[in-house]
Amino acid sequence: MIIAGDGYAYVPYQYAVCDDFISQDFHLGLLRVDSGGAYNNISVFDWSLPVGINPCEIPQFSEIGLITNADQGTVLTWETWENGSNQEYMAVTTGASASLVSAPQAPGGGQVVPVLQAQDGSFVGTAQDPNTGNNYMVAFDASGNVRWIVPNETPQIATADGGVIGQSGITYDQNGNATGQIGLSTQTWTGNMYQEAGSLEAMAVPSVFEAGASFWPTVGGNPSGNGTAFIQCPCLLQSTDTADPDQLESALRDGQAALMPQDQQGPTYLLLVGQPGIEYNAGQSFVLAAETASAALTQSGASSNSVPVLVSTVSDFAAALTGNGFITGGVTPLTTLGMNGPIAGGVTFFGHGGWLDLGGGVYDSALFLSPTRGSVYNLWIQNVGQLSNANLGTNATIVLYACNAGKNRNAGDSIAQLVANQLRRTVWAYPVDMWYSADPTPRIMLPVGRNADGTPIWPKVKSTTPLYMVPNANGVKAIPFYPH
Amino acid sequence: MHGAFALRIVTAVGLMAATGGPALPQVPSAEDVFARFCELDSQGGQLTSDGWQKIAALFVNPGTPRHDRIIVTDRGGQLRPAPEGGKVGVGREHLQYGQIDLPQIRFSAVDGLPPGAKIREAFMYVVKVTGPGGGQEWRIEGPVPEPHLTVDAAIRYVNEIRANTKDATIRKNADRTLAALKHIR
Repeated sequence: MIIAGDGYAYVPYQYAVCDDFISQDFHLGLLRVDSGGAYNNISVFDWSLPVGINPCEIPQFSEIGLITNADQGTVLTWETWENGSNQEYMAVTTGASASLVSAPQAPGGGQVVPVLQAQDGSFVGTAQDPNTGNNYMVAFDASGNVRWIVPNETPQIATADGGVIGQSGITYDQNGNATGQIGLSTQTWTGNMYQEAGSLEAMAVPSVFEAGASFWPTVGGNPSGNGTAFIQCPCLLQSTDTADPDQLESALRDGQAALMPQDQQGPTYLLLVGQPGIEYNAGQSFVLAAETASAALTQSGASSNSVPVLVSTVSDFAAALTGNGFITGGVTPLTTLGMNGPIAGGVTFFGHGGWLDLGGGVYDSALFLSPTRGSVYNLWIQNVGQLSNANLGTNATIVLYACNAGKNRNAGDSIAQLVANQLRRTVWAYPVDMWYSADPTPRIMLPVGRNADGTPIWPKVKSTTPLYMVPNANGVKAIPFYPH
Repeated sequence: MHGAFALRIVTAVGLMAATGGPALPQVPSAEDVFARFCELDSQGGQLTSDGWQKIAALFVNPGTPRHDRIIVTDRGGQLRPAPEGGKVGVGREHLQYGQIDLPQIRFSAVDGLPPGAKIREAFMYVVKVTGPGGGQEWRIEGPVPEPHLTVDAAIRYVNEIRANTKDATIRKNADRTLAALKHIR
């Protein structure tokens, strides 16, 4: 099963019907299931064979090679045994229908199983010559035309320039020409590479993962390899009740009289929110997410501010760190979901994140504290030095809930890493976009329906608690960034 | 014809009576000038000679047109302007989906950023200068940044290039780019 870029789950199936002693009928279908469980049963291909000695023996079916076709549907390949030989097939699905196209032809006639979708919408897969057992990497388009073939190679990552990186570490351009070699290790959602030992110390940079290459740029569709295509920046697809930044600021400042509880028997936590924005107005979502975290912390016996502190400038952020008592809270999972679920640190921030475009291809990771123009409204490499750990306990940690706050970009540090370096404390953040939901389970945001023209309808944000900022990736965990 | 002329006179007299004098043309504010640039840029203004002239007129030192690549974005919006002395700091934010390399018309991610990432372009100023008529006008300090087009404007541009090129490679690239842009839309 995969979850394709159009948000539907696709489950291929094959079965045989044994109803007479003359022939046996075979059927290949595909279930297309939406998030509500509604489904279409797509008939892909039917074929018949004369019965054998045992007319009702369980037949052997081939592997179904199934991959997303961007956000338009799927492409699948399969193999049948007909007329005394293997026959290769390929189909493209759009909506609830499937169209047969010519199957890509690999050396020896073996089935080509799609593995990646390349930047230009073509596919790169694997094939094995049934006669010799030799393996090939095969690039082909959605019509089944083979573009190029590389022997003894397996595709791993599609790159944004239209090329691909093989399991050998050899990089190939869009024509299959070898262009270089890299040391390929396991790559994570952060874009960092890890050696087999798997320890954080084994992290190697720069990264090579090209998230923008396609909906399916790596084996399994994403760094988790769980067969799910992923969309980008989902929180910005959701609709919220917009909030007036000035009114919100006034309300929050009024409510901060009782900021930190005086009962400090347990660990102390400080919850911060950024402004909701103008063009990308998050409404009350940041505040509601902070209130949700506060309620959970209180239940666990910790002390936290029930009214989040609004930080509209870097000065606000710095003042909040030093002006709200001694912060001792570490990261404590709020639910049994552990680190896959919502977490709160001694200081937890809810707000917008992204990159500042400095021109000339230079981008710096930042927290966007306010929709006002000016560097003082963005926490970034140039002003992170204003933050102080004077009131942070040695075990205090920081959590940043903001889009891509934990995403290293090429050799550039994420804002999470920069804050960790400055405060000498561990910072937890997510390397992906965030969205808002009453269910904290990390998962890809899926459409809740379709408009008449087929465009997706995204979930509307609730205006009540509980509300969580949810990473847009199935099962993705917050990443710890250690000071260095 | 005469009736229409008479109506215009009545309207003008009425306006003068209401304001106590002739209506003067309003000088666009710094924010207006920047908004005008954002609108022209998002629709591909930098890619035509007429559009470039209009955009260049909004800048103190526009420089020369930059046709290395097009950044493809959503419509985005302006940041709240911030006065700094005699200047007004302005900026825009948008979601960047990718870039189209020119003249190859090849679509790819922007410098390793994930598509759909939120980007702030926040380092421009609008300053007061003396205009051609001797009055004070707001202009953006140059040079003009790289072209930032909405997805729809980018599709229109690529379609136009595709229709007018004889280069098979560019046509092929344009087809792929159009497919990618339509997915985003």
